[in-house]
Amino acid sequence: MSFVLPLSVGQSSSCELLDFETVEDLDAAAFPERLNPFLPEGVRILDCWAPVEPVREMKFLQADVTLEYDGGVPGGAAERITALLLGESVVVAKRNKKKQMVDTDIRPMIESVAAEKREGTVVLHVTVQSQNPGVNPALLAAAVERHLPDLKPDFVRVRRTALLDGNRQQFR
Amino acid sequence: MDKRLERILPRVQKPARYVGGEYNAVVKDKAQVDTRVAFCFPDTYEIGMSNLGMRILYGVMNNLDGVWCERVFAPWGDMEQEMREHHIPLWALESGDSVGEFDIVAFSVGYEMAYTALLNMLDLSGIPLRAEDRGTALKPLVIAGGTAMYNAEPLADFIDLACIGEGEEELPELIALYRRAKAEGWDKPRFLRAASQIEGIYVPSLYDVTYRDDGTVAAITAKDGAPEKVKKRIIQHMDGAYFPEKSIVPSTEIVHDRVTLELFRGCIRGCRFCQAGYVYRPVRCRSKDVLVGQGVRACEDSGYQEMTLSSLSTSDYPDLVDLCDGLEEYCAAHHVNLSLPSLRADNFSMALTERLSKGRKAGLTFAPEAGTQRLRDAINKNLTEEDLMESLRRAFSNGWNSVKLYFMLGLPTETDEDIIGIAEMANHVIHCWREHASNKARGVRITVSTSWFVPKPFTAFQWESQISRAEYERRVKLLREHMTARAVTYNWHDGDTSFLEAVLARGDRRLGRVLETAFRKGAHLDAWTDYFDLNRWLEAFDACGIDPAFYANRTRAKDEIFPWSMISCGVGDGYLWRERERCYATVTTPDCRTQCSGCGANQMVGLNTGCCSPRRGRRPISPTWTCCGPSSGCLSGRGWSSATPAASTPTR
Repeated sequence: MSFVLPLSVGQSSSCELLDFETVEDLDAAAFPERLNPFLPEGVRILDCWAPVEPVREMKFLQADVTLEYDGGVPGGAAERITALLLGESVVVAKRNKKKQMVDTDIRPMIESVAAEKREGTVVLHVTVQSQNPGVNPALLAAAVERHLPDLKPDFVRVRRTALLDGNRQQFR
Repeated sequence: MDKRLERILPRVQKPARYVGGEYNAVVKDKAQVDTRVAFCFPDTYEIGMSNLGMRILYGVMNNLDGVWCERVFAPWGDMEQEMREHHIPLWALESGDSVGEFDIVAFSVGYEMAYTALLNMLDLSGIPLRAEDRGTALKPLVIAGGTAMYNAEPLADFIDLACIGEGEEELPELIALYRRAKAEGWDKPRFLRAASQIEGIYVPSLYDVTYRDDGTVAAITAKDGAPEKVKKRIIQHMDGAYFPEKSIVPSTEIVHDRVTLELFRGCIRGCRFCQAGYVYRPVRCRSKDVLVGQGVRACEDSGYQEMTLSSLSTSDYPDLVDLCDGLEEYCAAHHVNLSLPSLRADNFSMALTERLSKGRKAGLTFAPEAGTQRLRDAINKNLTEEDLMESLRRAFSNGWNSVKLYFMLGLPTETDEDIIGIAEMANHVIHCWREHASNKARGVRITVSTSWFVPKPFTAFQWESQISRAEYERRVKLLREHMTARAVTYNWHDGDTSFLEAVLARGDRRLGRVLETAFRKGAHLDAWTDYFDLNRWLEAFDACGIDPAFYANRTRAKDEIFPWSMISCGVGDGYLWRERERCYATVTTPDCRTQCSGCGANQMVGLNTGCCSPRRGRRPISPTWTCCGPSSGCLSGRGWSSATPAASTPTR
């Protein structure tokens, strides 16, 4: 049993994938109903299927990165943030394979960013590379904090919304 | 959950400690309950959730209609800082409600170093620390139970009452009384007077303690109808006792994350240093069929793939082999790993260990406690080096190559020869490995660990002085100098913690001021080296004009009144003093199953149950002690009695 692309502590998701094998055949369609009564609060299985694609074909993840501003969204924030994240480079401190924090340009790993201004928040609907290399959507908020310090949010929430294959279709 | 916590959780270590929502956590409708219990463990989540007693009593209380018991754990330092900064009071996991709103705040206190964590949790809940500052209103009722409460005196100023002994029946009775008191509008003093009549309930405020000029206790006087002696409460029949078959499954890693089957309570061995071995007497077993059923159902419900058989001395469970037989089939079919800690170093145990290891050979752990046979006999460990070596011969031949050996330094009658004996024993283990290891290429790892002996209440050594710090360090140095083999790693326990433990374990209620002073100076998670600072405590002792050596480093007179003398654990002081004398004479006492030594604990159960009952048709007697009344005809000195069970009431 293993989680494909484990979620970072503090983030939520509506598309987590648990890969598992069983010693006996299962009715995949009935599995969610069987297991859901035994899961912790806030965790629910939405669907269960036999894998179609190998994990290496999972290329992108989509997420909503919500930047909360307790004093109200500063003027022009959505536009400035979008420009930053879709600019030529976006350098943030990122942990490498040797677990060292090094400055890394994550711009090549950012597929798309659409900023939506709401009451007291800016929601970034982002698509980023999921692996080899992948980028944690929270790093986009770190980029805002570093390069646009006047737009540093009071709090950041990250919610994964989809895992996609190379054709931008739902990864299965 | 408090909205502010959403922003704090990503900033603290292990945020899952604070959110609840686990599988099998009990959530009730507040409108349907009239009594809420905040069940507090004065340590972190991963320690508290590993505690079987916590799981048992959580289930017992939540099985009561109209009562909702929720869990509360001590926050780690980073979370505590956030809580204080943002004025977030301590909350219970199931509801998220502040502990200060609860009717009963119940602490499980297994260890003296948790005392300041208890105070800290009261403070974080906005509850005044001292009972006298909480007024006469019934709520909140602050109670404590657990092994450390056999001497609750250092906490006497802070708790309203202590539950002595086993809580499965005691707590429901106390809660029933509370509900009645609440419904009828009693104040707390009236409630406490009534509570003191429940067997096992100790109300500190109903006992006056006076002191002599030399600082020892002059008298303990019960008042307002409180009993002179508070007798601990036990479960008479273990088969009928509650077991948490539907236990909470933590959503994060804890220390012991598995099904724990409790085989029996009490211990027959009588090791003279061991408080648990005495205070949990008499021995009461669960039957193997009940255990098999409980184990299977608990695994089925939780999905755990590890099950452990737990007791003070698992090897002594009468039907251990049959029990393992009964569980093995299920475990094999469901890939559940069965483990047996707390085994003795004898051939029987090794055979069982091999059977259950299934080719996995993790390390073996033994606790000889002392380095020479003389000292092992003096402390009544009743383990020979030949037993240990025979077990190791077998283990090494079968592929094991990692051994841990636990000892204590500072035991009564200990000499330098005994200390050097520890190093010699380690060398003998290496020699044994060289002679018998099946695969020497893997090498051998031997770890020797020593701790500083702490005399505890209700043991044969409760009169003893803890050796001085300087002497302890000298003995550690002596052992280090003799521990020369490269294959041996020697670890010794931190002296600071052991010294304070020795003070608090036999402390009286005058230590309450020291506790509070130390807490105000910042003491809060003293069981953790990250936070413990002895200097803080020494400053507190100094500020209160109390010499900690009075409690730790003083030999008590035989007739000294102990601060805990109002409590009875079932084992008599006369018996314990005899055991002390036998220690100094280096005379062993056989285990209870071989020969009754008249400790008195069997008076708490019917004579046909427990360790003193006939077993396989034999009734052992002791010709040395007055274990039977003179009218029974037992004192024949012939070894085996023909007396009827009814005539065999031991006298103390």
